[in-house]
Amino acid sequence: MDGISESALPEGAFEHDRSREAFEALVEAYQDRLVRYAFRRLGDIHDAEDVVQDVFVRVFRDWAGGGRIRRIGPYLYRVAANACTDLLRKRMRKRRHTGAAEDVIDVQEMPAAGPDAAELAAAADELQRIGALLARLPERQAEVVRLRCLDGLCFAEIAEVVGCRLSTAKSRFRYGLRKLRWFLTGQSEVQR
Amino acid sequence: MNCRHFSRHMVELLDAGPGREELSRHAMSCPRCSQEYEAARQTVALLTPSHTFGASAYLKERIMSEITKREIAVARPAPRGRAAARRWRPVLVAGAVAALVLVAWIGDRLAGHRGGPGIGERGAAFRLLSQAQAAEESLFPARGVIHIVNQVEVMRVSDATMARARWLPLCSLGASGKLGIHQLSLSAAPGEEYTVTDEAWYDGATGRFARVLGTGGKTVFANAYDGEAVYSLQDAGGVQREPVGSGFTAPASPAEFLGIAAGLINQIQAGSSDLVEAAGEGTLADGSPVTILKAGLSDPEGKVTAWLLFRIRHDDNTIAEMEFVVGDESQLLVRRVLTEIVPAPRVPWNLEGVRGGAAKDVAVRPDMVRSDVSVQHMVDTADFETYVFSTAPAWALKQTIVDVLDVASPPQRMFVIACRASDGRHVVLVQSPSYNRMLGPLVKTGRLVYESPNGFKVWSGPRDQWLADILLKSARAWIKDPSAPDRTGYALESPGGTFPCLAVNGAITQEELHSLVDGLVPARTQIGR
Repeated sequence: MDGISESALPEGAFEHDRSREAFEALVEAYQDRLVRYAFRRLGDIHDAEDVVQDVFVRVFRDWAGGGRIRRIGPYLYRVAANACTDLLRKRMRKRRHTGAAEDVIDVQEMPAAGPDAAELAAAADELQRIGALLARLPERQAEVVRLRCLDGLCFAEIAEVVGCRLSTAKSRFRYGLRKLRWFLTGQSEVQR
Repeated sequence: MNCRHFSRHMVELLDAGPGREELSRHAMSCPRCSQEYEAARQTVALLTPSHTFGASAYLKERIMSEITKREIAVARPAPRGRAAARRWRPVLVAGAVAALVLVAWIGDRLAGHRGGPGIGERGAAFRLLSQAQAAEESLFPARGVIHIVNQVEVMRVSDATMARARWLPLCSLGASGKLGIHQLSLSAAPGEEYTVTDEAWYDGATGRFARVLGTGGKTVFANAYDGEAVYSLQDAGGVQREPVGSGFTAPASPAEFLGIAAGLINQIQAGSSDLVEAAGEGTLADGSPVTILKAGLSDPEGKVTAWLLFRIRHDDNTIAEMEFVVGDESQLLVRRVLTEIVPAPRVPWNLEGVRGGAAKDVAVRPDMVRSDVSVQHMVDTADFETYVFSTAPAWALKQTIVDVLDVASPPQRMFVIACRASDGRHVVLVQSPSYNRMLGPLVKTGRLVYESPNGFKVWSGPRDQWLADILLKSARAWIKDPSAPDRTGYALESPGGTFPCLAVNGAITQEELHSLVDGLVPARTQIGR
């Protein structure tokens, strides 16, 4: 039952090498995951890329200013999560203001050199299917499952991103899986 | 390990943790736990997407370009630089909007709607253009003197009107620290072609610069800053020196006024992403690969008949060429021919020794855009009756008047009154000699929707939304929002026989429309004339 984790920088590499090349390698290692994360939160690939750009620029500023970043992966996710939340709030304010319809995942406007429309449409369909399943879970469990299954984070990283203990992250995942299994099969949870 | 322990720690099989082997061994020896593990694995598989995607191929470059830009900004005296950039942007934006409005106008009149395809992939193309602009900024190093040479090729065309009407925006720095945007008129006889050389030097450490434009051995424009004063070439041919004021700040974003697309790209950036589309890949004359982006406004039928092409180099993302095309015929081509670091400029920072001379076809018309002008200025400058709102619309926050060169009727001026609104329904009223001349027969093909007690007629027609879009884009720097899908546009017929155009960035009621129009009064009455 391996996860879907992607290649990332060795832990601490970013801390010890503060060259521009090291930062570029960091961008290379995390940009895809963060774009998917932001796309999932925002439903728009352009907004997702804008948010990810802002995240890296902000992290670069902290890093260039001599800031110490202990674990870069969770830190990037935390910054991205905050940026997505800010943008969603802005959108909500604007919607309240203009009465515009709620945003939906938009696969019409594609980056020229990004995923093609079919790829993104298929991914968006899958995200909607998975989102419908996860909507049956309490949000705290759903978020841990998302970070593990959709973003490929390990439990230690998830604990840092959501701000809980490692054991709590694991138990939220375990209970989340059990509830989903029960929902999918109609069976009651295995009692131990 | 027992089954309870396995159940509690089973999820650790997902990670490469130290207890993994023990958990695996238990699962292999216990059918019940093995079954539970298999069920969990299947659930995880259901939650794991099979289709995936990543960032666009350009995202990393975009991020690194942005970082480079920030590094440059940090390397310079940041506070004054940023303040200067903020001050300049609305002027640049407005000037370039005027340019694009011209693009739409020329396309509509001269190309006869036979233009290019519909626009697609706009968002992505817009991003590439943003990235190119960031790369342009990186051409100007924080230290050392850079020498940049661009050439403007005025192409051979057969249409006499088009041959005369061509121009580009031209930026200059004033002693107040403000940026001026002028019209570089590039007329020609049908079948005639020539080249203008645009040469600039910039010292990143001090902000000093010198820029000289010339053709046929004549210098037609020069602007410089030597750290103490700003120098400008005058019509009479001499150079005027103006010591900088106490509030002066050296330019922080040289690409905004020395770059290949200065005065144009800023507007496209701030206008809206729907102006820009990808137009394929290509190569330069030396074989270098480029990505081509196309920017243009569509006509009322949704066709783009006049546009700008930006050729973006693959190797450094800078803009190699910019081309103005009408109806598939190239009109102007601006190309960068040299960038080099030099010990010192060939032309002194104070333009000593530079003399101007009249060129047959090239002229510089100053101040395409004068921002935040007074009602008095509008009355004094306009050679037609102008109107203002006696009271700002009830929902408006601030009213701004902008004086813009009427690019279709130079040197006459047009006036944009922009009322930024708290609810996003910004109001824009444009009064232009060209509109006064052109719109009379057109509006009367529409429907008369209101006659106000003060003598205004309000006309509505099928081009209202298109017109509103153009008007709102022209005032984008002041209203700060893109045009809304439910925008509303009207052509007005004033009691003085002029044709002001009105746009509201959203739906308005009949009462609100009537109130707006009823509130229009001759501008001269507001200043007691």
